[in-house]
Amino acid sequence: MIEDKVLVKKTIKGDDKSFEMIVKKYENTIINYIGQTIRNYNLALEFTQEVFLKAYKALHTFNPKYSFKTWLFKIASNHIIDHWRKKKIEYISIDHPIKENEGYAPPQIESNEMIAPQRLELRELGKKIEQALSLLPPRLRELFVCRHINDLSYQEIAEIKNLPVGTVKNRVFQAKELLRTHLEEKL
Amino acid sequence: MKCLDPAEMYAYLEEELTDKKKADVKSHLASCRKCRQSLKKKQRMLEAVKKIPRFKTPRGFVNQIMSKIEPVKPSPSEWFKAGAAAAIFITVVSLLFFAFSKQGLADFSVNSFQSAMNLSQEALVTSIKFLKFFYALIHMFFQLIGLILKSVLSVTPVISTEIQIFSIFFGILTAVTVILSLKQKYILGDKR
Repeated sequence: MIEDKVLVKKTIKGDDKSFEMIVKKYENTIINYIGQTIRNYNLALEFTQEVFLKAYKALHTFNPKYSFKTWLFKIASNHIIDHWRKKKIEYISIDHPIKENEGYAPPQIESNEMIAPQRLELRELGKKIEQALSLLPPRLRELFVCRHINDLSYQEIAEIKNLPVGTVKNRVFQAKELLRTHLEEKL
Repeated sequence: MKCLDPAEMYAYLEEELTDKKKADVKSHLASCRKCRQSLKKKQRMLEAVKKIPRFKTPRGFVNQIMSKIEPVKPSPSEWFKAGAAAAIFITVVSLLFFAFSKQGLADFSVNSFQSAMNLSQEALVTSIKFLKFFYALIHMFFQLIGLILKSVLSVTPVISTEIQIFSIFFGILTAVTVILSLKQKYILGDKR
């Protein structure tokens, strides 16, 4: 497979086929990241398209010393933050203590969904986790998605979010613990 | 060893621990049922996360994006770079031209240049008549420009007017080529 940096270089020189390869490579990664974070498919689709168009226009600013994947995630992350700002969803600062559901109105979950059988199959549990994910504060959810759904390393997340690695680890841990609390009786 | 804290358990599951720490955790887990159960729950949760339905793009998504991309617009700095490169090139060519026309150092270069010109002239003369006619026209044009230059700049060059004008003409032609290629490369993004 051709390296991202080579594809970027070719795109800058006018080879649109190379950009097409970039889009094919990352379309599902980016929509999954945005979608799992904002929990809205149509918006995620729209944002993903905008992220790629934005990336195309800004390709000449990409520094090949760094990872292209991280750069693309950074654009997507900024897009999500803009969305939250527009929707006036508060996002937490580094030093701000995090409380459960802070700044986020969780979607209503039907009461029968809360009573789960003792032993759920993993897939079933996955569905429950999906619902529980919606209950996390957006900023924690974003980091959790990056780490455990998109399989980014803590270092990569730190670069994307411009946060110290320790802070990222701490936030992801909080997300996991909140999630576990929501799912306690179902695990 | 005291019971594991949740952060340690996650670090163990994500293989973030050092070998030494990992061995300690393993040995504790072997003897502590409570920690084993707690770890199992966490492991189950992380495994279930992988089963969450993925968001996927619809068919034709790539084509949609490709139909919307536009040629990269020039940034002011790129225009500036292209302009600066052209200006430097023209300045260097002009300086060389005037330096060569006033100093003895130029003689050798001028002779070589003239010889090359003569060869070119012969080649032109022996080629198609149309080229001869075209050359005559250019020659006349050069003479005219040369006269204008002489009167305006009051320069008494060592080398012939044709060569001087040819140099300027060549310089401008090259500068235009450089600008166009820069435009193609950096500004239009070589869009096909």
